[in-house]
Amino acid sequence: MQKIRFYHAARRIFTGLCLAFAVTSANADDFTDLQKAAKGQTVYFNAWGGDAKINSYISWAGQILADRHDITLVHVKLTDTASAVSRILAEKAAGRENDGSIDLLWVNGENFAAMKRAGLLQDRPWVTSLPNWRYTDSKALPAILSDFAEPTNGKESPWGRAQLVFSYDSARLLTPPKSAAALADYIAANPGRFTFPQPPDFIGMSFLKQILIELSNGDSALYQPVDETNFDAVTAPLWHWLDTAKPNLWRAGNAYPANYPVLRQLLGDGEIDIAIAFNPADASAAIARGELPNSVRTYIHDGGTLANVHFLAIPFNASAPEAAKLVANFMLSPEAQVKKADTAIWGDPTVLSMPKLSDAQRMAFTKLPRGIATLSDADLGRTLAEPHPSWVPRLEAAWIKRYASGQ
Amino acid sequence: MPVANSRRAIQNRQHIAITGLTALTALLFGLPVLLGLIGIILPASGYFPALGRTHFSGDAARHFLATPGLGLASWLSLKTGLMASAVSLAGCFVILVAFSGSRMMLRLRHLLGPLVAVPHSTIAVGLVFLLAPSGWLMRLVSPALTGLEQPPTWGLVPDPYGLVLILGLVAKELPFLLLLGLSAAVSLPLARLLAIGAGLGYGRFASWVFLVLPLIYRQIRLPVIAVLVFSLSVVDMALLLAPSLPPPLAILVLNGFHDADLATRLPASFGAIWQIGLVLVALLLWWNGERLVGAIVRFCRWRGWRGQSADPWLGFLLLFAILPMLIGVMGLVAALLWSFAKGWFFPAALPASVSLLHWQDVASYLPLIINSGLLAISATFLAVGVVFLWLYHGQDLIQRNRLLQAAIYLPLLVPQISFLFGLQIGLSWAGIDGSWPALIYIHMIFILPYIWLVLAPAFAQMDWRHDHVASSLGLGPLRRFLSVHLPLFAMPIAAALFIGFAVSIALYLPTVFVGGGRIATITVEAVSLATNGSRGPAGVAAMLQLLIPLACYAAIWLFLKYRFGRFATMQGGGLT
Repeated sequence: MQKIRFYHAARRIFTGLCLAFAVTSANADDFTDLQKAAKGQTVYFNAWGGDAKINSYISWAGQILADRHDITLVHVKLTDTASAVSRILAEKAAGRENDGSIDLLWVNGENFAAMKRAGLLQDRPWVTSLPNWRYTDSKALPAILSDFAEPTNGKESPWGRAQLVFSYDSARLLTPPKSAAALADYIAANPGRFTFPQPPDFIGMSFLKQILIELSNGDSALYQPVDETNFDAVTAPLWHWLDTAKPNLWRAGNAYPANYPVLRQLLGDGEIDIAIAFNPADASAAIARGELPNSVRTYIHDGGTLANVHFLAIPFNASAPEAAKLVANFMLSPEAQVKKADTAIWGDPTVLSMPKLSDAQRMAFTKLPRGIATLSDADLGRTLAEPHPSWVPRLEAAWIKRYASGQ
Repeated sequence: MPVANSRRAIQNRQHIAITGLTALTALLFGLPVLLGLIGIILPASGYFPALGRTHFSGDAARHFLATPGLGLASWLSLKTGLMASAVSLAGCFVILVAFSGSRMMLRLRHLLGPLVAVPHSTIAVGLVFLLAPSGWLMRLVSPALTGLEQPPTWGLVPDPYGLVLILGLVAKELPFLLLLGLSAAVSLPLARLLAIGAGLGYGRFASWVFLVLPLIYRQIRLPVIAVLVFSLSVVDMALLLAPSLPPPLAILVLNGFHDADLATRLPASFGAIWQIGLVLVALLLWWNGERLVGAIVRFCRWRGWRGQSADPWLGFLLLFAILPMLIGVMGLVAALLWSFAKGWFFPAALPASVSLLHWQDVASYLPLIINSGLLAISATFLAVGVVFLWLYHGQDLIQRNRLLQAAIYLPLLVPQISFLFGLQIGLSWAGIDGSWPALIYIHMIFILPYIWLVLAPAFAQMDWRHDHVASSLGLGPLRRFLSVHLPLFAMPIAAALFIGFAVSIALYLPTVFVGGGRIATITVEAVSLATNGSRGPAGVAAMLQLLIPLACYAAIWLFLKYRFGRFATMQGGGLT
């Protein structure tokens, strides 16, 4: 017994995954049990698959998990996370309580809130008992415990951070507009050169929220559940801004790109001057792939931009919940997080807390190249919190009614 | 005589068993659709226990009918679906009339395979890249002719009328109908019909319109209807080419199924039924259109129109019929270029540098290609097997029984988004979603109607005297099937196999829904990459996807050449 425990502890130290010192022995035992149960399992990881960089990062993780834990990680490439939520719902409708088709889901915001409401998540909290949870600091980054103001209740494990960032071609545009008001002026002066992904696209909705927060000076009503009585009053500045901008948008506001990669492509094609992404390193990565010109740079608005955390969740009926937890734990390890933060790999900012890492681990993060168009941490400092998730469907419906019904 | 009686009884029993089997297999083909429809009708009427809705109500219907822009969305779908189908059919006829029997047709045939097999989204991406203000056509003339260093702000794609969507659909559906039209033409006594036409003093155009096309149309009518249904409810192509304010109906419905707010599944389910209603309206209009065209043709014939003057116009019409296909091919060429491009910015006519960057992880696509290939091969061979069973043991039964016919054709006649969500629940309930047998089965039901359409006429025209001769030489049924029937059917079987592979490879939504994401195919990957705006990787995926049908095409062609080369003149199924 002693021998086995020693062997496992040694392996953990060797892999730098979960280290026996700080973890309570009860946790370590649980985790050992978990590792045993997970051996040989296949994890169907449902994650948006539209970015080749992210896909190859996930297959890198799969390779390591196969070598170390004998887990097969299958990346099910989604075009839309909600379609996976839809599938879990279909399984619940069919009474499939276990052996579901999804083991792990990349999720956040309203999809998480919807899954929580419909009871599509694991019953018991599991996240804070992951050995690598100790590298996080929920005081410094409260967003790892509340996803768009929705408490995570330990049912989704943080994976990465995101912040809304604008990119522009510095060869065409010298001084980008750094506020909602300046952007309105820019659009008026440069007809046809700005657009955003069509709501209900995630980035399109985020853009609307960004403008609304800026114009309403962060109205506290946005951080409460939507109140029908003052919805019109709170959102009036946004509709005024959009009404004014519409005739001067790309294609006179009669068409919008479907999602942010298409928006980025429009910037690459020179059809627009400014693109939006939810990842500070996205532009640098696109330059490296030859999808954007070398002269593209990024900026954020002076008042800050929306920031949030994205997570990994396990559905209620996962067929391999033990292995899924092990995958989530690996994804939270300094080793996996530093790889993910590398612009050459993906460029997704870490959710770990630097003071909680060892010197060597911290060094690995600070040594990372930033990428030609990526802002420094100091420049990215100003963030805006996500409004309450109930605003998303309400704003979405109002936008569609106003601009997408052809009336 | 008791012995003879009992033998007859056994034969009778065998006959009943085989007939029953035939009917059962035919009905099994309608089952998934029916299951899927039930899974839609219940939530549409307010019943969905998983969300705690256990009471029937009209709320879902009311919610859906209040969708902003519903009327315009429905009109857009109806308009684009009808136009795309009519233009595809007309183009297919024009090409048949102009090129039939010529060398040009042989060349064209080689193009059809890739165009049929490539997914709609790849053609759509190519089309956007051609026609956008920053697109290839504009780059070819800029800045030399236009003086533009930066793309103009006006744009054609997507246009508010859905014209580009129609163009894209035609680029995909015209080759498909042409492929089926060609295999239908093979089973007709073309030379004799045209000789009769010439004898009556008709020009080439008139001979075809009066004598041949009605016969071909009768054979491909079902695929034409299938194209109509598909065009009315197309999703992947519409995402890129259709106007989005409001989008076509199918996208409106799909958005409901994919909304983060799970309660929208209920109104979306009603939308799926609304989509079926729209299909019925379109079918009614199409049917009236058929009668109108038929009346006009009859009127012309009655007036004694010989159509000699129409022939010179054929070349002009041909231009319009070929154009969409050329655009489709240019889209594929663009995909090829993008897969090797690194840094290709306006107004450069060609990529700044060639790179293997996107081809680096080509090995990671291998499992997807294998999956696609396995799926296509097993589904197609199974379907051919089932069709032969039906042809030998129940052709009359199926042709007489409308219920069985409807069961076979149902998967093509009900819009995919109207039953796939329900089917997903059904398969999940049975615990077989995401399994290979379920996916092969679903692919087979989409392939089988086409194989039936290709093989049944060939079977009906088989010259049974060969069989009698073989029989009188003492060959048993199996030997006769292997050494007489198969060689006689070699050409139609080859056509059926190829169409089966192509349809299976291009099948997107059913693969996504039934595969449960667990069985990934190269098509699913290609669509995911194409709609997510990565032209380079999408180009790689599109090229890899073409490999399978091309390989099948080559394999079938070589096999026929070496095995049955000496029967090459027996295409009609007889020795005449």
